Amino acid sequence: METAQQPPVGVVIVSAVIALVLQLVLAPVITLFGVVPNFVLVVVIITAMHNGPVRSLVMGFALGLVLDFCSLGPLGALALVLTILAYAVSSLNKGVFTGGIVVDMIILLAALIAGEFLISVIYAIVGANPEFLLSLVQRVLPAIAYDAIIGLILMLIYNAVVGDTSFRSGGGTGRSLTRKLHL
Amino acid sequence: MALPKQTPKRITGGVLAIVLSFVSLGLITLWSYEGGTGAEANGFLHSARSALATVILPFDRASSFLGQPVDALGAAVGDATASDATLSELQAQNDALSSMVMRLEEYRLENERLAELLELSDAYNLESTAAHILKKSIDSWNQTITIDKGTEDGLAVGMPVMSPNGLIGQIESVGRFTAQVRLLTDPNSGVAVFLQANRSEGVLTGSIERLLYLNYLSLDIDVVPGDVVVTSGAGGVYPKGIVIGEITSVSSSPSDVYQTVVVKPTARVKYYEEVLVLTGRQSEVTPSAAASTTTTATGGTDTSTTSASDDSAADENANENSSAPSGTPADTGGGE
Repeated sequence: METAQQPPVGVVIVSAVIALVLQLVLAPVITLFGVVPNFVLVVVIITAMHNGPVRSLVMGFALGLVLDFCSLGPLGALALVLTILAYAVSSLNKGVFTGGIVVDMIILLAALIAGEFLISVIYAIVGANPEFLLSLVQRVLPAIAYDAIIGLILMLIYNAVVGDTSFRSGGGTGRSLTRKLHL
Repeated sequence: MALPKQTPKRITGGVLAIVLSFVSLGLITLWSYEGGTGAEANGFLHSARSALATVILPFDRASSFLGQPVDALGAAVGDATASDATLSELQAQNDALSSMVMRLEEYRLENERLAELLELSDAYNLESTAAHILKKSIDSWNQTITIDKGTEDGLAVGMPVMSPNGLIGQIESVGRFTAQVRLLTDPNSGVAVFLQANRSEGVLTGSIERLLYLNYLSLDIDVVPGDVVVTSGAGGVYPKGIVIGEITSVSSSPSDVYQTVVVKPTARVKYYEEVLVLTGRQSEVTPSAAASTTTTATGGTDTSTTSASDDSAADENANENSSAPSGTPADTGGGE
């Protein structure tokens, strides 16, 4: 069930749009050694840390589906992964942890590992990843490292703009930009 | 008697998660049922994907616009240790000359073998159309590029795509104004090839490491680094004789059935902004449907991105005037 401690729904929508634009426009440009950063994966995880399951699920599924249509990979793969991750992370936040940015980063890293691994598994199952074991070294690990760096940056930006509104923090600091602007 | 007050049922996260997961699994299943990856795949989802390409065209153009200065910066940094423009010019010149040598060697060998068949038309006389590269793949799992030509320009799924230096891939999804090309280096790509030197045939596949592997060459075949690999034309998707690359390493162990052969592609996508899409063979097109955007490509390895013939300009004009393209692809269908 969603709670009153969540940020405004507008923040979720704006986050989704920004993530989509970053993935479609910026990500192909900043490819490193064949690894493309997954902005959408990172933003969905961060959103799930600060919102309840329903919002996170809708955002994750919708973004995943759009990107599945935009790429040549298995259609529905990213939607499935983001759905699972959004539910898992948003459920974890219900008072399980009591930490700050360090714990957030640990959750983010764990979710990124799970997400990138799940994608490789789904690709392997449908035959789109014929070199599964090699891909774990050549794709999954570099992608996790790249996404983690981007995740740290986006998490700091998110907390600065929206404030720490995660469930465990009791509703945030009240000094975020969105609260000042009454969004 | 008062009825008990009913509260509306709310969708819980768990239920929604299960529903959306099943929807996703259904999509994956349907996508696989339609053929999955490859140019031969066809169905509702693949058609919807092609249709959506028009919607995201502004994003593609924005990415292309953003990518230009980033690419320029990358090139500048890479060349910083050399004399800037000179290095780039020499690199391009070297690529062109290397490609030309390979192509001439291919012609020489073919002329020797087919001297008695000179009356046949040139098998490499190809129709092509130039396109700009808009952007590269948006994920790590598919090695693709998006180009700015689509069905409006006569492109279709399955058409081969090449750079000035050789083959780079095949169109797998095409919208009205854009098309997505799966590169040869993608693990899901494959093309029938032979060695220029001894005509031994094999199948070239991409890999997750972005290397090309030449498969099914038995241990008794003489293969040495430097041998040139060209398309064999088997399978009917790629025309025969297009240069792909040269062998960089050969290895095998006593227990192996086949040799492990690594091929370095002559066409490096990151150095180009334009590509050529082979839309058909001149000998196969009808003269009724002329398309002004098409040009002539010969031999599959060209030094120009807009006119790919290595014949004289007069010959090229004569070809264009005498045989107008129909836009019908000579090679469509499944990947090899």
